[in-house]
Amino acid sequence: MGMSDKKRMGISDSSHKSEPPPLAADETLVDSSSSISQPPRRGSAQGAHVPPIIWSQLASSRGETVLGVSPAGMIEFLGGATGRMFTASAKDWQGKSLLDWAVPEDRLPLKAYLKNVAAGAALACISLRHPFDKAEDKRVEMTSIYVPDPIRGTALIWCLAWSATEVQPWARVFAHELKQPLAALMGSAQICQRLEKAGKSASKDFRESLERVVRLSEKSAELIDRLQSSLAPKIQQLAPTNVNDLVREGLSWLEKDFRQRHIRVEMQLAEKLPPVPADAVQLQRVIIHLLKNASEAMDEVPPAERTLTLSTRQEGSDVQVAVMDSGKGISAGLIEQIFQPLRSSKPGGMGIGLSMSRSIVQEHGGNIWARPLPGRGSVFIFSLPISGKGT
Amino acid sequence: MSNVKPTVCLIEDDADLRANFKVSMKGAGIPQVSYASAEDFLEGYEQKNVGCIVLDVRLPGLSGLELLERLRSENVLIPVVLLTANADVQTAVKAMRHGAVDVLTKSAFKEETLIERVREGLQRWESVKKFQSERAAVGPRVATLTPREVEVLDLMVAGNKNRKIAEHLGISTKTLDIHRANIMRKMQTKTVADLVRWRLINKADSSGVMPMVS
Repeated sequence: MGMSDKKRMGISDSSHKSEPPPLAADETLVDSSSSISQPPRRGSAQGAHVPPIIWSQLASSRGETVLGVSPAGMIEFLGGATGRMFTASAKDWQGKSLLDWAVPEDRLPLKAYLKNVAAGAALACISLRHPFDKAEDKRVEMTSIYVPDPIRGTALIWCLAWSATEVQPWARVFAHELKQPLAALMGSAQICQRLEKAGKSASKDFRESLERVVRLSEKSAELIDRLQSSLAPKIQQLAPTNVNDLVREGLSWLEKDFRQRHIRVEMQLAEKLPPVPADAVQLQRVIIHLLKNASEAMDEVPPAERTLTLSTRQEGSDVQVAVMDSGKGISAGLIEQIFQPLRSSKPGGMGIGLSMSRSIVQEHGGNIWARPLPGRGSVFIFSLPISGKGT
Repeated sequence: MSNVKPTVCLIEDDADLRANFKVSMKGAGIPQVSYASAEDFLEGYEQKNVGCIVLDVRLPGLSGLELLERLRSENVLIPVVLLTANADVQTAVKAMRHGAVDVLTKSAFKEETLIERVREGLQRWESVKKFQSERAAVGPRVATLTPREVEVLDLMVAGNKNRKIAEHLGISTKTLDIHRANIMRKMQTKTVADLVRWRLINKADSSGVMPMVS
C-alpha cells in the first residue's frame, strides 16, 4: 500500500481530522494530527507523542528489536536482533549515520522523516539497505517514535523494527552461515562413499573425512540451535502492565498504516481491566504482529468492507485480547497449524511471526489461538493470567 | 617451460573445504596446494607451477572475483573454476567474461564434477602455454620480414592465389616467387599451412583471441 493510493483516495491528515477513527472520546491516539488537536493525557512533560510504557522499558532494557538514532540521524545503539539483522559487527554502525543505510532514493525522505518524528509524527515506514549485503537492497518497515532521553539529556528517535518480513534478511544470513558447513559436509560424505567403494575405508583419508562429517553435522545442528534461540523471545522482567494501554499504543503505531489501507478500526476495551504481569516490550510485539496480520488479511476485500475490531476483556482469571478482521478468513485446516514455525498462509511469509507470538504469550503463562468467524474473517485471541505465570 | 606436473590451487577460507579438496585431488592424482586467502595466494603461487585455480567467490579481504579480475589484468591466464555459495547469474556472467572454466555452487556439486572441471582447466592451461610459447617463437621471425614481405604474407594468409597477389601488388610472378622463398626461409618452414597458423598466432592477443581474417 503506497502513497499513490493515499493520494488517489484524497486522504490526508486534514480529512482525517474531520473524520476521526471510531474511538472512545478519551482515547488519545499517538499521531501528529491528534496530538495537535488534543492535549496530552499521559507521558512525559515533553510531548504528547511519548508513549508511556514501552519506550521507558525500551530505554532500560535496550530491547532486542530497536534502533536508536539521534535526531540528526546518527546511530546511537542497536538492539540485539536489530544488530543481527543489519550488521555483522559493531564497527558497521558505530559512528555511522542511519542515512548511510538508506537506499539513495530514500535518503531525502528519511531525512524528512526523522525531522517529522522529532516534530511529533509518531509513525512511518522507511526503507533501509542492509549494509552487510550491498548487492541487494532490502526494504524494511520501521515504526519510529521520538523519545527524550532523561539520562543522556538528548533526544533519541527509537525505531521499532520488527515484523515477519524483517525476519527474512536475518534468516538469509543464517542460511548463508549454514550453507558453508553443509557444503563441506556433503563433500566429506561423498569422499567417504568413494573411498569406501574403492575399499579404502581403513585409510587415514577415510577416517579424517568421516570425522569431518561428524563434526560438520554437529556444527550445522549448533547453528540451527543458535537460530532458534535467537528467534525465541527473551522475556526480560515482568511488571504490572495495563493491557489496554498497550493495545492503544500498538494501535497508535499502526494507525496511519490502517488509514492508508482504508481499514476501519473499532475498539472495544474493557473499562476496568486488572493489570497483568508482563514484559511489555515482548507483549507489544505480539499485539503489533496480530494487528499487522489482520490488516494484511483484508488486502483482498473491498476497502468498504475492511473492519478491524480490537477488544480486551477479563475472562475469569485471565485478561483476553482479541483482534478480529473482516478478511477472507483462514481455512480450518490451516488454523490448526498457523502457530507452528515455518507455516504461513501469506505468500512469501516465513511463518515466524505467529510462532514467535505464541512463544511470547506462553512465556507469560498465557495462551493464543485463532478461529474463523462465521461469515467472514477470523479472530486471533490471546489470554494472559492476571496472577502471572505458574499459578 | 617446466616439465613438472602442473598443480591445481584452491583458494578457500573454509578449512574443511580445503581438507576435502586435498583428499579429492589426491584421489584423482592431481597435485594440489591451497590458500586461505587471495592475498596468501598472490604471495606464493608463482613458485608452485599452478595450472588451474579453484576460487571461492566470497573471501576475506580481496574477493574471488576481484582476484580473477586482477590476474586477468596482469595477463595471468591460468584457468579458474569459481565456487559460490549461491548460484547467482551476475557472478556467473562476470566469471565467464573473465574466462572462468565454470562456476560451481558449493552445496550442489559432485566430487567428479569438480575433478572434471579441474582436469579441463589444467588441459586448457597446457594449450594456453603451448600457444604462448609458439607465439613467443614466431614473433622474432615475423620481425625479420620486410614490409613488402609482410604484405605478401598477409595476402597469402588471406588465401589469395599467386597470380592475384602479383596482380594486386603490381609485380611479376617471378618477383613474387622470390618474396615467397624469402618469407619461407625467414619463418623457418616449408609449408603454407605453418605460415598461416603462425601468422594468426602472431596477430592474436596473448589470451589466444584470433583476429578476423579479411
